[in-house]
Amino acid sequence: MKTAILYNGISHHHLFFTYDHGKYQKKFDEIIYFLDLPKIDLHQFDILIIPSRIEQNFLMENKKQLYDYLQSGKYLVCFGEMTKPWLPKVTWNYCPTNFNWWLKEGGELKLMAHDGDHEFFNYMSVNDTRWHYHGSFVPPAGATPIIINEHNESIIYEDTVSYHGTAIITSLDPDYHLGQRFIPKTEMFLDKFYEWIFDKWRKEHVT
Amino acid sequence: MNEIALIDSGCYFGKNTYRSDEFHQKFDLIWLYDFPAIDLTLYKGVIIPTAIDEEFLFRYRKKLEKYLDNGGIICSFAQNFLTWLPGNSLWKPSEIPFKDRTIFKSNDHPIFMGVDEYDLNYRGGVKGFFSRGFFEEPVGAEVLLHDNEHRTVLYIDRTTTNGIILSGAGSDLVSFGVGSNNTSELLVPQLLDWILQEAHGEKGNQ
Repeated sequence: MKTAILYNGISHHHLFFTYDHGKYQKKFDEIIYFLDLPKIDLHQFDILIIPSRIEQNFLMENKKQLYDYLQSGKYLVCFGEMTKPWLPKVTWNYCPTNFNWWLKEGGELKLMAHDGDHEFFNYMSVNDTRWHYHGSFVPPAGATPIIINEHNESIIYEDTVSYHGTAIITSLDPDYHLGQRFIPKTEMFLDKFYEWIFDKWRKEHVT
Repeated sequence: MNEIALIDSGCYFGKNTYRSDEFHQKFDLIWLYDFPAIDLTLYKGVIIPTAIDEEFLFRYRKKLEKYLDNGGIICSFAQNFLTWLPGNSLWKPSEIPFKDRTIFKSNDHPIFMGVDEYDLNYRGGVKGFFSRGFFEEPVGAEVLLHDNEHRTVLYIDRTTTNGIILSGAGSDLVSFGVGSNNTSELLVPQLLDWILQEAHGEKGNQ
């Protein structure tokens, strides 16, 4: 299994990669500075992570490369906002961020499991995904919602039907917050999230 | 054309603040990746927000140094991890838990006139948005903001170069207060006023 992740050159990504003696840097075989993406052969990788806060116009400019990679049967994992249509079949809905729900009396962030038997919940609980989100997704027909909000929109979903590869899409931004040393629970989330994805790939590809 | 430029390298944040129509009237928004071709001498001041691609800035640090040596003003709110800003010690994360960390005004600088310290420290009742780290300020620098461990959160350096460097440790004056409906909304107009006063030789209340 060969993995890669994009890097936007901004301090929140640098601090994410260098957090805890480079714990997250070591999870990936290659960290690709985003301006270098056009000259990289993505087909050498099995899993490509697009962390949150990669400039969307840049992803638009390189959407064919990313789509071709996904269509070759690989994993594409996307965090955060997808405000430009750089990946077909993805529908993004902006919403104001409820970042202080926990300070309000009776406040809650309404996130739920779409199907509590999904393998994702072998790795973490719904509560582990609750800090805030900046938007949601309406998955295409046949895709599998994992975490949904009260409007039945997805905060995390996987799509194994729209492409030849597997897309895992979340509007959560744990890498950003871990890089900013803000919201400590994002560390456990990310550790488990990556573990789920890497295990999932191994189950499908390693006999 | 405005007298002040703001350099942007994308990223989701900034969409509702310095990329808004209202802000376009206050400064020119320069796309960082066009930066090599931009004539900085056209601007009295250059603002660099927290969310900036430092890898690219580092490649063109000589351009920033030349601008400063010609008397330019740079206001940076980056959490510097590369040495592209003269005199800057690089950002260090604060070890104080955010709930226990407080940012204080160090003097009566006009940029913070009328801005309540509470409004610098809290957004919607939550601490930690404004700054999460600090710098060791350059020798001779004027400290404008510090935390409760007396670490420097924002300084002005008039000695390292021929120009003026205002450097905030992630304390982003161009995005933090916008839309807050409190006294932190004064930060943007007062920062821009200060830049122009410095550029035109009116030192103001310092």
